[in-house]
Amino acid sequence: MKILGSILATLAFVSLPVAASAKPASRPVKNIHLYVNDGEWSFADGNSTYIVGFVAWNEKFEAAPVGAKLPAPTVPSPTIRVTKGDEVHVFLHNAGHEHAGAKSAFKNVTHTIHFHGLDLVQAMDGVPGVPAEGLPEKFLSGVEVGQVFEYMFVAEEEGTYSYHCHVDSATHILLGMYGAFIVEGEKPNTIYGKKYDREYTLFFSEMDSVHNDAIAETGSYDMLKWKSDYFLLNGRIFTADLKNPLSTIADPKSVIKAKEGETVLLRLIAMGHSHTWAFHPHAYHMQVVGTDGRGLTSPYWKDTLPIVSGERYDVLVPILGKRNKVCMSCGMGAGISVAHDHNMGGMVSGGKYPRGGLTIFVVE
Amino acid sequence: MTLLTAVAGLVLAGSSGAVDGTVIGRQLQKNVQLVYLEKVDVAEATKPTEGAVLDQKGNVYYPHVLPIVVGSTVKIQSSDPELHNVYAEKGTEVLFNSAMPAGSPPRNRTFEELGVVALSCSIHKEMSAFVVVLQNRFFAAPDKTGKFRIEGVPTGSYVLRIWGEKLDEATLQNKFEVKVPSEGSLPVEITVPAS
Repeated sequence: MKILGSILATLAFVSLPVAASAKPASRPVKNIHLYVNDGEWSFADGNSTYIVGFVAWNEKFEAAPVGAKLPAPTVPSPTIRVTKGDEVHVFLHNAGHEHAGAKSAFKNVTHTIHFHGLDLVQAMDGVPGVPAEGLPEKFLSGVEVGQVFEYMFVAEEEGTYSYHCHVDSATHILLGMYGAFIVEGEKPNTIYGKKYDREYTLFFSEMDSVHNDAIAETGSYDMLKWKSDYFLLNGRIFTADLKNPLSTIADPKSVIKAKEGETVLLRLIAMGHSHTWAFHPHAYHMQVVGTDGRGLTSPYWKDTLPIVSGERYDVLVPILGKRNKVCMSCGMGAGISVAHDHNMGGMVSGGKYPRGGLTIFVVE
Repeated sequence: MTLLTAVAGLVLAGSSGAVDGTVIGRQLQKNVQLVYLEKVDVAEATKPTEGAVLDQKGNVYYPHVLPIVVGSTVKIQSSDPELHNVYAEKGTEVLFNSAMPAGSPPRNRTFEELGVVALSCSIHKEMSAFVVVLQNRFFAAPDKTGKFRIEGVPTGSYVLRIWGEKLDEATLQNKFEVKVPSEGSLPVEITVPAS
């Protein structure tokens, strides 16, 4: 059942653990407001499932007005971008789960945010149940419905990271509570000192729609039965129907457009249950220049790159022009080529091949 | 375990009525694609379906589920500028395998036996469709909220069945008794497993 709409922003602010708002500092300050919201997510094959995610009131991640209707959740949750050296304040608002069934035990669960790869102290790390200095007792089990918690840290290392809920992680993450967290370098269009012309974030994840719907109805599920039936790239599956608006190839964030001679940065991120993705562009080799938030001193070349849950890779793809080389049938110059998960299990969604993580390069 | 429940009410209009029902439960709502009365002994209800068409367009079969009355002829056509083949299976039996190059004329196929025929394309693996061959015209596709309506059902007692490509065999075997009384309406509660 498709559930449209959104829920009211819950702005019953409680006393925050340290400060109600960011104080002026010598370094740039970024305030990020994230709200928990639930809803229905539609796939390109016509099916849909219950999801829970973090949503932003607007593109600036500002606080939602009191009583405002929050946007519906997406997969993945919004990408957060900060710059190396920023003082980051992330406000997590648990706005509740309006679309969970009235009898669902999920209705009133707590949430947290874990900033994956940022190496934070326990109080800011989002793992519930671990006492820590600076963490009020009432937030020990996570942020309850109607409450707000402020995470604070300085983004010290540029690179590609992720964030996700860490309460009952298997269920909460697999419901869709994850997104990309990007720390940009101090010089625009560079990563680890290397230049690029365009960048795309490709977020690979997986879902078991039976699990998600059971959580919506009852709040519980035998996790030994968890089995992925959807393998997602930026929340979407591929379908060969070129006019399908929900297919990966209808998504400007997923279709990699470039011009001859340019260098494309791909930020590859994976989050899931047990699948290993094997990202494989057909027409290009990728130079791996960084992984897990650190630049490599010895970049290396790959045409098939395994990525497990939690991992991130920063790869540069040079789009060579035909004038750069004389060859026959080389994958260069203007045209379309595919890029996909080469672990074939991840290319099947809803029981059908090739409805998994597949997108295309479109070179002009 | 998810409680799989459907509730149906019967509304009469003279000697015939409408079966109004609701499929309850998220998984059942998603997976029940068709509800139908198993057997209706009225000649008018068993006439072959007229004008049934199955198209191939943009590497997709339209419609994905085509319910017809037994003995109906389906016009199978392709609107695509590329090669398809219509591979038809009923269980493990291959009924036909028709190559359809771009621009080929429609093929008429008559379905003479009750049951479900699965159609696929060997070239485009994600293409699939199902021709569901039924005894009579009293069938309906529930909407996304599980609601369905079968109209013009003659007064009497019937067995309601459900079908969906993802339903397991045990669920498909459920039978639901529905009655269209001579006066008034008779709400019927249906559960899966059938009680």
